[in-house]
Amino acid sequence: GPPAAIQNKFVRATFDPATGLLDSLTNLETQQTIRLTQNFYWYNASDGKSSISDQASGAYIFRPNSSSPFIISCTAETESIQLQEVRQQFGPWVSQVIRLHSNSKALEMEWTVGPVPIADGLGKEVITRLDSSIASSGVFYTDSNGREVLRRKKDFRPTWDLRQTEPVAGNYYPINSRAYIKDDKDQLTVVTDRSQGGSSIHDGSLEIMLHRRLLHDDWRGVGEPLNEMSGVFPLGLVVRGRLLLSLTPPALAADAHRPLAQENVLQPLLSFTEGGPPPGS
Amino acid sequence: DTSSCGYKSCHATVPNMLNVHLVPHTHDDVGWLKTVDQYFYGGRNDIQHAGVQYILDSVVGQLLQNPERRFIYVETAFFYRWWKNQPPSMQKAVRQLVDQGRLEFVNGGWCMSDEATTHYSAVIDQMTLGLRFLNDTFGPCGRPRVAWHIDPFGHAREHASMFAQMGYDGFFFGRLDYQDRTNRIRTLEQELLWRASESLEPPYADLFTGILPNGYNPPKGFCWDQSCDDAPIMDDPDLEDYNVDDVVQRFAAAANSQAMAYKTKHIIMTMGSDFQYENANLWYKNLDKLIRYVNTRQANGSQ
Repeated sequence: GPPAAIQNKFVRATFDPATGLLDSLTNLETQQTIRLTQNFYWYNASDGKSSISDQASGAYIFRPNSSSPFIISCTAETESIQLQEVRQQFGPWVSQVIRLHSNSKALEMEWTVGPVPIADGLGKEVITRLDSSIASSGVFYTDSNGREVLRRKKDFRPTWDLRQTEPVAGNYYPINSRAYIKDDKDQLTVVTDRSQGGSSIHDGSLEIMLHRRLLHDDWRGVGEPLNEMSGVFPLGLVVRGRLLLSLTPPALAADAHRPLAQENVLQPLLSFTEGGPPPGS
Repeated sequence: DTSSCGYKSCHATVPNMLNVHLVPHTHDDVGWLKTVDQYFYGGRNDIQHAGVQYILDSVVGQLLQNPERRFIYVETAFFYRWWKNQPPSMQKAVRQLVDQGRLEFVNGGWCMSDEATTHYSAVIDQMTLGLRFLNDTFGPCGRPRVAWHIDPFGHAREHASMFAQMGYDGFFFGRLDYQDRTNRIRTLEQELLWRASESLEPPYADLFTGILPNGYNPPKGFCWDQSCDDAPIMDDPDLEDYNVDDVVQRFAAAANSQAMAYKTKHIIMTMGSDFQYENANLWYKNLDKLIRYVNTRQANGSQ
């Protein structure tokens, strides 16, 4: 079974021994803990065969067939490599490594998704979803092009009286570097390594779309379904990426997520050379 | 700046009358259904008929024929490819068009960037690349005054902030939520001052923003590109199908209808679309006639 927890001097993450899923997150400096579970789900992409509209989900348009995503696995097979790394297998095409680097204040979640199976004839839009004890009251926050952060409210528009037609898709916003939810005590911030779509569909919940594989075109001109394959990935593209989680009081959150996001964009560039030191050094 | 470009090159307008600003343009995606170089050369026209080298050849030729004609160009990635293959005589002629404000660059970045998935540092890099080329090549007259994001799928506040900080005076776009548009048409709020930062002191991130009337396409019935089928202006009474009165009447109706959704006596019509003006003569020949016949009627009392 999984370890009860992984921990460094800043962060402690506990796991549910019955499921292998993340269970709680603690900031050891501020002595705050939230209940936090994480899992992978997929939305069943609309194929356009619906009485309301014949719009299919596609490269441009996200149109889930139902507002409830399907869970990929209720449990994860876990393998503990060291105290700081837990490897989770959710199924043949979804796995994740949760890590604590010794000097990091953030919990790293390295996800690997694909090849997304389509033999059942269903297009799939895969999300990771964090469900926490934070009382976020329908509000979440997303960055704009990696700079200022805007407040988003579920089923709400600041500039007009919204008539919501898509309870999930109509609440997705672009995330370029970060998204967060908060209440009076706790702020959970997720820093991404690439631009993704995301939302908070339920209070305390934050979801990020990781990968999409679709069987229909959505009629905006591109004329092909978003079905990525190649010689390297003949069964469908496999994608790997990282999310960084930070738990702090709201007042301290910016001091944590700003450097995290900058370090993510302006990463050290490694270069290698064979043999000894270069001449002249 | 002693030249006649920029705001000094604007056509005269008529006070107390509705002024329709016809803006000939071509929307040239820097890669979409074809690659950037296929689009430039006009390769693989079986996928999509589009050849930007011919568009620029053709537009420049048409601008040189009539000093009243105007054209805006957007994507420096294409313009750069074309420019470096022109002989000095053509470069000199184009410089003159730019100096006189007849060919005007808008946006001016290497491309028209997406606003949802782009990182601000990458946006600044690509804008700098395009604007640096324009500045090195044309000097102050090559400097765009407005940002032009007619096609991106939604708009990010940070983009407006960046454009304001780059010194743009205005920003025009075509895509917004359909409910938002309906509401803005009703409340005459399709033009606004976008305050794009919560941290910068006004007016450093304030940007005049205009929502275009018809996406970025011409009004229905007035597309004279080779890719359209609208009737040309047939103005010789000796020939069949004379239609000047019909065209002028339809144009006045389109203009008046559009003006009801905007606050001032000035409206814009985007006369172009995806990869149009490959044979610019079709557009300009009919636009010249349209301007002449509509203004004649205006001089005779119609507003």
